[in-house]
Amino acid sequence: MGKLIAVKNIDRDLYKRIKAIASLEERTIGSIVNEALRLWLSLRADRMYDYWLGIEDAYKDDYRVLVEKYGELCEKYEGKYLVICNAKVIGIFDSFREAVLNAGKKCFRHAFVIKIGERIEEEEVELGFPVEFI
Amino acid sequence: MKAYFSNIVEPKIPIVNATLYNPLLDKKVSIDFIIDTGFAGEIIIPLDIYMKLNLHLFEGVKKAGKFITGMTIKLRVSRAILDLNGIRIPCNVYTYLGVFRSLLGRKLLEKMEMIYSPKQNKIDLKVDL
Repeated sequence: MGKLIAVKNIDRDLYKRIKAIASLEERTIGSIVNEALRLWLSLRADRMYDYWLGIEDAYKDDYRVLVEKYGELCEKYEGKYLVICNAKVIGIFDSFREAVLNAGKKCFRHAFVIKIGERIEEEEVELGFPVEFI
Repeated sequence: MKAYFSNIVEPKIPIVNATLYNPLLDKKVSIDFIIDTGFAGEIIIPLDIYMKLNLHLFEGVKKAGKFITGMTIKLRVSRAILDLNGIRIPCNVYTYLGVFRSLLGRKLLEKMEMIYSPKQNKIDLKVDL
């Protein structure tokens, strides 16, 4: 402990904000970096982490296809239901039920079931207070 | 559906027991949800329950979960069906790595009537669609 470690590519603005907050809280930057590293490690120690990683990889592939094709699909099929998995459009369906039946049969790692025309931009959900602070 | 106060942690927490189905209605789990008015969404569950219901096969685009401290996390989100006393409510279900409690939030609570009286140890929930 107490060793000097240099880290490249730290976001300068983020660092400035952390430095300001650390000063207000009378803490060292080192103690904050240690806290962040512990939090990062604790998430990866979760017994479900391997499953999470598997879904994440498939999600990224499927999301790329969704973003590429969504504009065109909205023009042609608004109101119908889209299923994407294995980085492919599996089908366009008239009902949600039909779409989930196909996703359940044909997909294994991850699938999107999306009503065409709905926004695909990331929205916010308020979560309240993080448990660690309670 | 059963609503009650649990003393497993202090101060006691309001719980509602309900059944969550995947959209195919071929898998279900009975869950004790904490009633959480700080959570704006419908339901958040641990990843193992999410996987047990195969909800990763019915997902939408991730949403940003924002804590009141300003910190954000990327939540997975899927459609599912919540059964409350035989009334089935389609809803969004969220999860994230490390979630260890199931919460029922305001977006579902606004469809209900709730009598919340911790002093009398009484809690009563009715679905009003």
